[in-house]
Amino acid sequence: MSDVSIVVRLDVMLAMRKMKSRDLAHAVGITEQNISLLKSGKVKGIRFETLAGICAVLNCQPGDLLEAVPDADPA
Amino acid sequence: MSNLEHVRKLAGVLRGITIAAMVALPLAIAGGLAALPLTPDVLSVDITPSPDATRAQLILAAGLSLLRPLILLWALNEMRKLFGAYVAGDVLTDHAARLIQRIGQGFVAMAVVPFLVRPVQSVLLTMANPPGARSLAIGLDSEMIFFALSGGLIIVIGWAMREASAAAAENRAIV
Repeated sequence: MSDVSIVVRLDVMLAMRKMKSRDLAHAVGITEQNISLLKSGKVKGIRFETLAGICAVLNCQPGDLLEAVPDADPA
Repeated sequence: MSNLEHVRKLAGVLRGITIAAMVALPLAIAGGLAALPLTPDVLSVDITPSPDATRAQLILAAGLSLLRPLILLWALNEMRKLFGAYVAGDVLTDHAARLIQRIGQGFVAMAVVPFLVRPVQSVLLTMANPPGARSLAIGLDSEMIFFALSGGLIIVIGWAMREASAAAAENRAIV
């Protein structure tokens, strides 16, 4: 098993761009529910198409949205 | 028209036919049992019953003959559920895949049960004969082979659909 998790920093980028989830969803062409799932990290993956759309709207790079975080040591 | 719309439309028609069959089958059996006296000739078991066969033996043999229609009714009910799920758009799901597998199991049972019941019926119906005239009939006909192969095929398709439903569920979790 991987000891690193991918965390979505979409909420941070939205705050930096002062944009609402609803506006981003509308601009990218996905549902607001999916944006909410992305923000909460309750997704198994993200399509390149969706990632590219979000990056285009927020004027950022994929690395600004995704971060590899080491899992907490259970010991 | 998309594939899903085709599935929904045809499933709706098939569900209606399945429900009609589920109503007609028990009525036909009940009507037949009520209209005809329980004589050896009425039992469609391809075995010449002993003229001295008791009524209990005849009833038991007739009861065993009802196992297959009961399995058919169960399989029809599973088909009704599957078509209902398809009408609701519930196509690539684990629920639908499991229903397909149950239908396949019903088909296999339609092959296995007669194979097992026939020897029992033959013993029951000829038990009253003198020693040497009793018989134990074991038979395999093309219908049994058809149901066994069809059932096996449907079960395999069910497993494949479970794989597909797992892939579809994973795809739904990707935004």
